[in-house]
Amino acid sequence: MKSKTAVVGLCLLLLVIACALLAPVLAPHDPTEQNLAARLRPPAWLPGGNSQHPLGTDHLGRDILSRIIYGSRVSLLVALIAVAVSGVIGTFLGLAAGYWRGRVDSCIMLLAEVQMAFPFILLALAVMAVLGPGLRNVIVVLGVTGWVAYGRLIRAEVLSVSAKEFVEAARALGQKDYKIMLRHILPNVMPSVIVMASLRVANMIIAESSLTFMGLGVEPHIPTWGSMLADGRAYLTSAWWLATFPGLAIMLTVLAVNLVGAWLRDILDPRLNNAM
Amino acid sequence: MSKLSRMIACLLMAALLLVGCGDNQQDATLVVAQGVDATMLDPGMHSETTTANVERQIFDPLLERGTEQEYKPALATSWESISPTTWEIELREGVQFHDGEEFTAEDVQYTIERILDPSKNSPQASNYSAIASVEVVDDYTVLIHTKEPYPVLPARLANLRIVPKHYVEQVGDERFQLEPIGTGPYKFVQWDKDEQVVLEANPNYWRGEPAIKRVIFKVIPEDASRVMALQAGQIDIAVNIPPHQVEAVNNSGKAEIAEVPSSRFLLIQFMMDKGGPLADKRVRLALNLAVDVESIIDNLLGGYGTPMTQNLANLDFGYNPNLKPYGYDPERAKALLQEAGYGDGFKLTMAAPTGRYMMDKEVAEAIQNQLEAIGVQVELKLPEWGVYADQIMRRKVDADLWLIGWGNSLFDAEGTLYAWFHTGQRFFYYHVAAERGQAVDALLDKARTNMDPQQREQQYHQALVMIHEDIPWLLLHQQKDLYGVSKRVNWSPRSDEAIILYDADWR
Repeated sequence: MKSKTAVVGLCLLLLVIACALLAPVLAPHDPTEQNLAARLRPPAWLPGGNSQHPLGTDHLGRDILSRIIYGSRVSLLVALIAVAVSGVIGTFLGLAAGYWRGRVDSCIMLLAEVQMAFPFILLALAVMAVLGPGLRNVIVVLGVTGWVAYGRLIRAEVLSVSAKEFVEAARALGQKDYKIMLRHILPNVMPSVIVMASLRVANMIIAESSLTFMGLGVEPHIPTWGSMLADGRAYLTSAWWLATFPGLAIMLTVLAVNLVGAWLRDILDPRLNNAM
Repeated sequence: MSKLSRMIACLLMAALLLVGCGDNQQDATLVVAQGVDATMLDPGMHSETTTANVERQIFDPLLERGTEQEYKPALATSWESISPTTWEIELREGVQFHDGEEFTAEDVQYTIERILDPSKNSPQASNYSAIASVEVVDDYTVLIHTKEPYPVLPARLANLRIVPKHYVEQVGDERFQLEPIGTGPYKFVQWDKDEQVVLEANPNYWRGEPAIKRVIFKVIPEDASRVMALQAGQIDIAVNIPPHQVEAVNNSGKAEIAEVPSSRFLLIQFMMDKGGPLADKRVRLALNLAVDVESIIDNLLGGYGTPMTQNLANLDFGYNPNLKPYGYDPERAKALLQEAGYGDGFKLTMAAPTGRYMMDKEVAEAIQNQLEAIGVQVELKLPEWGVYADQIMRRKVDADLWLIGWGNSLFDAEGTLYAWFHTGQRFFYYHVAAERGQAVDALLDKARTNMDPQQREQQYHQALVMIHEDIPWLLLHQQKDLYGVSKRVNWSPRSDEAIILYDADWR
């Protein structure tokens, strides 16, 4: 690996994944355990803090470090599933549009443009308001509304790939459409899908946090970074650590995902390689 | 979405206000910030203190309650019981509504009949159900006939704000609730829903023009935002300052904290009629024993509260000083659940508002956690206040437990006990054995019509003992209200939570 930033990103990302997988082992406390007598304790290095709660406690006396560690689960789970769902939908719609063109293309692209007309987060908010809050609904909403980015990219890729000789050859040999699409075109557009997906993970993490922050995301009793931010906001002036640490967690995770995504793009995107 | 957009709107408004504020105090606007918006500006069709605080600037009551719970003349100049069931009310002459129409006895009659009209479904109907009829003698005299002797009528009349018959009939209820006129010290100017209500002084007010010429009631849902606006000098009176911000307000140099023991208390209502675990008294006691009210008061409320023993405030007539809190004993709670056959726990839903009462969401979350400790899984619902208030009024709260902060503006047990524990009333959820219910009904009926204060008090005490034994509630705490008041304003809070801006002045 040449890139230093990619190493940093990968390390951070592995740390977050480790937190998510090993939360029960790593977290010093139960993330939902309240201790009203120990509420709003500052982080360990400040006067009044202690090593029991390295990052302090929140307004109900819950351990912030433990909540951040458990919160990584929701962030990663939502982001990965939502990216997978939107990636699959987007790739297939993009394939269909790019390969068949004509009316299929017009319909799919019209749908994409209509959806693009709404800001992504606004659309997600509207759908969440109708469906009601909940972890499953967040995943469904982010997954279904996120397809457009893939759809447009893949369509453009397919347009250029289908003009290549090997596709014409396959067609001339009388291969069925779906076989051409899956066997000959898909493998050639896969690198773009992967790069796109890696970059979209970051968007999804932010989208989930935003929805939860606004009270329309994951249920309140599940510890998440977005809800920690929302709760902590009321205490920003008197107890800054409530909102600051989950905010940092979001920032670092998104940064890590972006760094890794950029590195993936560098090695997977053939055109960029050629250019260098 | 609404929260965020509201916050942005509030910030924008605050910025605009700063720009608009001149140096001349005569032109200055007094800004009051509450956590929630008024639901309507019609004094007869709601029963929320936050809404009342806005509309009470526009309307006048018949009598005014002093800070010592004594009654003073307002639109009525005298009130007298001329027979056990008849009160004669003399009205003030020469009072005009904001459109210049004269205030007369017809308006009093209309106001009461409108609340009692079953088709209007007013949440206040039960407050006035003792009234049989209102008779107009002449333009400035009315007789109020009660069905039975009714000792608390003057207390009721202190909450009865008079609406203009001619105007309501002309524009209809719906428009009246959005653009009201009254006889009060302030005239309605503008209402931007979920943002602000703008009022201006009524120069022809019968008591004289108010000292403060322009008033805005602003909606700032977040406690922290209210405190910040106060520190920045953008607002003058802020309600519900969270205890952990008291120091910040006092140190700001712009404002200080005014504290007053409130008549309001928080409790959680049990839906006893749905069957299931809550129908079992042992379970209801266990839930009470599982919640550590003292710890909630000391830690979440910074000590600004006292544990409740009944659903009356200690300022109320009829308060029974002999009742004790159920206490905190999670071990006994678990044993009781075991005994009732719920040793493995069970699930409940609980609803609570956010930003309406001091630390309401935090209190609800703490209770959720403490109930989980005895094996009761609680799913928390936190609807917006407007939605929640409407659900409560229409008896449509979709939860097994729901948190309510009840403020008795009557300062008499009649105002609370009758509405909550007399069969058929709006807040009646007290489903117990038939004889028991009848016994409580009988006591409340007797107390309601008893002109002898000592006997009345005894009857309320007895009823409260029975209700306390049946545990229809999860008792929490009586609040102390914390207001942030700008140093440029002279104004002090009241126990009944009423914000009366006619009494305020610039320093």
